[in-house]
Amino acid sequence: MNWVIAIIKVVFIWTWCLLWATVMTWAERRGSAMIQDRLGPNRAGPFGLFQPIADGIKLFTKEEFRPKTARKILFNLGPILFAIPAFSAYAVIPFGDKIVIGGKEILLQVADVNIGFLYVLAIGALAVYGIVVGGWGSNNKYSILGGLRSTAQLISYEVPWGLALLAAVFVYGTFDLRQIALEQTGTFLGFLPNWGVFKQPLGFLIFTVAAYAEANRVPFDLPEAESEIVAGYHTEYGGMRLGLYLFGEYVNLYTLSALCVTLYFGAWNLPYIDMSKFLGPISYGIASFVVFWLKVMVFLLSFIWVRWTVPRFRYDQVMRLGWKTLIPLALFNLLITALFIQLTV
Amino acid sequence: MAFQAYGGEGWLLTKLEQLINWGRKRSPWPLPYGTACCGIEMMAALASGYDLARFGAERPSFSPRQADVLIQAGTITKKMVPIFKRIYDQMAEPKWVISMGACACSGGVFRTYSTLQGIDLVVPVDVYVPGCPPRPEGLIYALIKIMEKIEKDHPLRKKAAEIGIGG
Amino acid sequence: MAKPVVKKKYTLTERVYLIEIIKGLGLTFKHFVFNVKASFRPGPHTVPTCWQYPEDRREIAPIFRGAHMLMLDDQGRIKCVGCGMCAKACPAQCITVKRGKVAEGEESKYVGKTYPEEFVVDLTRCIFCGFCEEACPKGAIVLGPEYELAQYTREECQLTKEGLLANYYKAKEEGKLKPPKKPVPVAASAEPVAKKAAAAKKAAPKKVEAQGAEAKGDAKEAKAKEAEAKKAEKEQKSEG
Repeated sequence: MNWVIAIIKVVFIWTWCLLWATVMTWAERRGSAMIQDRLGPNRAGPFGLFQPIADGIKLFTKEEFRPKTARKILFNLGPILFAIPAFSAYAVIPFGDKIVIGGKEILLQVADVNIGFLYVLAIGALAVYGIVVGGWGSNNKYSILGGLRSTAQLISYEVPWGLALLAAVFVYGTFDLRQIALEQTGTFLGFLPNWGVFKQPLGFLIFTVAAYAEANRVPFDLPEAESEIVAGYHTEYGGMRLGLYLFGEYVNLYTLSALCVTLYFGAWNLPYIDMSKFLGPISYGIASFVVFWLKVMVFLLSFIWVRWTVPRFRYDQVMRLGWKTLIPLALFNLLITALFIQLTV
Repeated sequence: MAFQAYGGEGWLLTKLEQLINWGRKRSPWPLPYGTACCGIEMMAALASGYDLARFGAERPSFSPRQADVLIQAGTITKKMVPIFKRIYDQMAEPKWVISMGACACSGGVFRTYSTLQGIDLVVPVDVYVPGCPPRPEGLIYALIKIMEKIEKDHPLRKKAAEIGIGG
Repeated sequence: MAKPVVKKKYTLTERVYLIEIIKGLGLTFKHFVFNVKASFRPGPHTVPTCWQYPEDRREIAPIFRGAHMLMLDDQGRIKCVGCGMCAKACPAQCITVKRGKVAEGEESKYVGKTYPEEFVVDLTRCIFCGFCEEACPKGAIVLGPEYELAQYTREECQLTKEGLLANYYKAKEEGKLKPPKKPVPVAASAEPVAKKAAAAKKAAPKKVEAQGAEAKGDAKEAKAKEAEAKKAEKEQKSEG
């Protein structure tokens, strides 16, 4: 029976991620348009809501081709290697508290493992392969440039990312994401909600900046838009292979936002209200799911918001920020956190 | 039913074709091939004043592999022809071409040895937009005409004819 | 002279960059809220800076140069006499005009004794400069307000006489015919200018004489002649 529930959870989370990646494409276009004093898509359905469906249909019915000089295996493997880790990383993130159906208590998390976000870090590193394989396999100068730049950027920013997360481990004492979410109930210092962002403000900042870099998103947009003149590592991709790259990017965003919410914003906990006190078991499960989803939505919209606020960094500025600014800051954060823990425990 | 669908006007075939046409019509990603002054009016059409993104043309890609509509805005000289043809060949089917401005339609004022007298000598053009430069509304009108052309298309029947099914 | 460029020193908040990002976020948020509220307004023109083309057309200036039209006069006669001046003046050589004699029974349709049998404007060549409009002696061809000119084939882009007249009727219906050019008044400033020129001619030879006397070295005579010349100039000034 357990494996049936597991399969249902996997299918549900897969579909949910796909759905929200789709809605994100629409939200990105309308949101960017609203910031830029224009209207986004508004012909395909009311408010352009069917625009992602039209894009999907168009990408599916495009000609499927492969440049003659591109290496066949690598060219086909690139998008797959990029999209699959984006979905898989979501397996350990709790998207709600438990729900009780028919007497059985089901955790709203696909896999409750005790290595928690180490798994996410490892899977995130796999996404680097997707980009570099795609860039190399295209046999095109612009692609390889874009691919290498992206690899360098992703690897460089994994270091401060990991260090900021280490500080979070100091505070919570465990890697397990569900435990971390459960610990964020109640209040801190008497008046603040007991969320990670108040215990670890610097860590949250470093995590956010590194998350933008991991997602290849402005201002660290370099790999896919530097040669915006010719799209970077997905220059030679068309049709649904391109769709997989674009989709994988949005799913990556969703995963990163969910991770941020779990670690720093209390996952499904509302600020001062404890929902389990006045809601029944099923409605509590659904309510926690909804609260988590709303928080993730705020973060996703902030990705779009920052995109049109900050200009793109140059490559040397990106590297300098990663190695010479963020890593010292992250180490300093570790030091301060360790000091606090030592003094208060 | 399969053979009837390919050979004739079955219900499934028409509905599927309508769906595919709707999808292609509502998301024509342009390749802005702006070589000269018409490029500025094309930029104006893509910017906030006359927003081309309303029609789904939000993602102007400079990579021909990812684009649907090649908007040729500006003069093509004979030196540029092999490059232009190569970019056109690199685009994935189905593709359409808008020839924007007098120089692209027919060489315009420049009846010289160095200017190509119209890009339809090199690529098949779907819509010609006269003007020097055409107003952004003129370009949007041309895109609407392309969308009307896509609507009347029969993608599945053509595919079937290519593969060789049906009568 | 090259202007020395002084590189602006960044303040502490600007160097930290984070605070500037937050200020920028505030600005974009303001735009976002304004535009979301605006997009829910009724009518086609919702967001103030975006004209939604097919439904929401912008006002065209009266001197806009769009597709050509053949003008009719008040009695409905075609003004064009088929002289071909427009074809000669066109820089892109896109107009083709063939002239024919007006037949016996068709006097009421045309203004002159000849009429354009064939009048074709190749819109794919036309650069919409307006030289044809300026060259026309009868004011028969005028560039109108039509800008939706996209067609599927090159043949459909050739504007024949029917098309030109249709453009005229359409512009007339929509009230977009251009007002005729007003002539610049010449008579008001003619007289004083002529007078000034005559008086200046009178003063000039006297001045030349004075200079000549100076060169000869006769100081007294030169001075007297200079005084005379100055007097003449003064006279001329008081007249003008």
